[in-house]
Amino acid sequence: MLGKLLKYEIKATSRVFLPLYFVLIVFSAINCLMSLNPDYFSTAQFITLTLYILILVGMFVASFIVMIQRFYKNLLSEEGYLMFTLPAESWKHIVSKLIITIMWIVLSCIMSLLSILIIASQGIDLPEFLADIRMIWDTAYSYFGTSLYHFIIQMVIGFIVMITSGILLIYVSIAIGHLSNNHKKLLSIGAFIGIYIVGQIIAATLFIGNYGYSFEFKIAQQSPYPFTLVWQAIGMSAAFAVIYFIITNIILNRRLNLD
Amino acid sequence: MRPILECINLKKNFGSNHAVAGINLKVESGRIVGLLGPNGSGKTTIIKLANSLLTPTSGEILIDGKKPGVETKKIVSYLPEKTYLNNWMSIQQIIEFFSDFYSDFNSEKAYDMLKRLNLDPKEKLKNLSKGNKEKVQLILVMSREAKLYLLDEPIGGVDPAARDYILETIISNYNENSTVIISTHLISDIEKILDDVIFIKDGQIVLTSTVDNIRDEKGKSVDALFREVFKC
Repeated sequence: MLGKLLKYEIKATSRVFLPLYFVLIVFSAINCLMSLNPDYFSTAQFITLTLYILILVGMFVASFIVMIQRFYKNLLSEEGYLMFTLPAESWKHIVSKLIITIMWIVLSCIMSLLSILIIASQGIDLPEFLADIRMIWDTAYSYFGTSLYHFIIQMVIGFIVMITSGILLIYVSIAIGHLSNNHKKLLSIGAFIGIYIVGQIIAATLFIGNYGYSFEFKIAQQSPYPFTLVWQAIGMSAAFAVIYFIITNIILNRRLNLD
Repeated sequence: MRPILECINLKKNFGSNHAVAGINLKVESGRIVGLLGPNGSGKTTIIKLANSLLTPTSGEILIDGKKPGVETKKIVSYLPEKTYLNNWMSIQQIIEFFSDFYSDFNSEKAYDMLKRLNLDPKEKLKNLSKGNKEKVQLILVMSREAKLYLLDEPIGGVDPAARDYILETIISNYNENSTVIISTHLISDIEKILDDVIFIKDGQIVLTSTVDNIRDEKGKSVDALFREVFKC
């Protein structure tokens, strides 16, 4: 059932993202071709570059809007009549939407990098470029040593956990807003701000409580990089994500009141 | 035999409004039941409670002995009074969607009905008129071989010709294993297909009876009795 939900979630969202990615790549290609003459910055070049940046920004705005719209419109407005009468548990609805949102955010990041590479490709000499990357790697390696791999893994996991936690914070805010009879949007925004502030306070309390006045000293001890501290931050973010998920699921399961 | 739908002291409040005010009800299998009442009497609320789109304030609602959940959703085919069709699929795609999620969905039957009602499977849902959207939803719901059909105002928005065809479809689907509950206030149109009626007013049941009983004992049509009971 989760597989089917994922399939339809991709179908519903890819019609927004695939054309956007296509246009982004086309515009980066145009920009690449237009920058043949670096001494002459024409109006046309200015326009295509501006459009490219707008599309790039639009892609991330779209990710944000689609995330909210798929959760609110597909589950808690009229379409919810269809979705919640399917023989699927409510947690599967949340998970399918979460996974697909993460997928599009990660893909959007990859597409932006790719588009920047396309634009820059005109001025890049490939062997030189690879040598530069090699040099960056070597510099990082000489600083971190073997813990460079640790650093990279931590960055990737941290990135995914932060995105997940952020998405679930929005889901739980919308779900809490749904509990109100007349002011769903207002309560959603209020819930978002409230939960965010409480989260910050808890984080600050825990970390200062844990490290106290010797905060800087402890960080300096974790040389060359405060892995433990970052893992703790990731762990806490993950714990928040789990709490948001559980609350969202309880609301969809036991407090669903579709208008 | 276990009732297909059972309400035990079922209550649902919206703020201070008692939409369903303590209902006890049993519906047996193999019947076509009219859930009849004026606007705002609680018909839709009961049906939504049966689909777990609403949560009861107190009491219980059971489908085939179970609380609404994944297992009951497999055997309930529900037509809401709202349009739940999204704006990006075609009729064909939503049929595929239904046959993907419901193992009791019969695509052949769906295409057959589309043809009879002159609907093009390639048409996008967002381009359909309101009446045609209702027809598509009804086709989706009636193409399942479910144990319980919950139809909320199934004929409200469609023309009389389609109305006849829809009622015909409901009867032809009916077998001794399936039950149809139709909520409506358009009684004269559906009276001829009903076995039983439930009259509901202000969230309470005022009368349950077989249609034959009403005709034989009271010498009235359901429509006439309804007008009498709910006289303003």
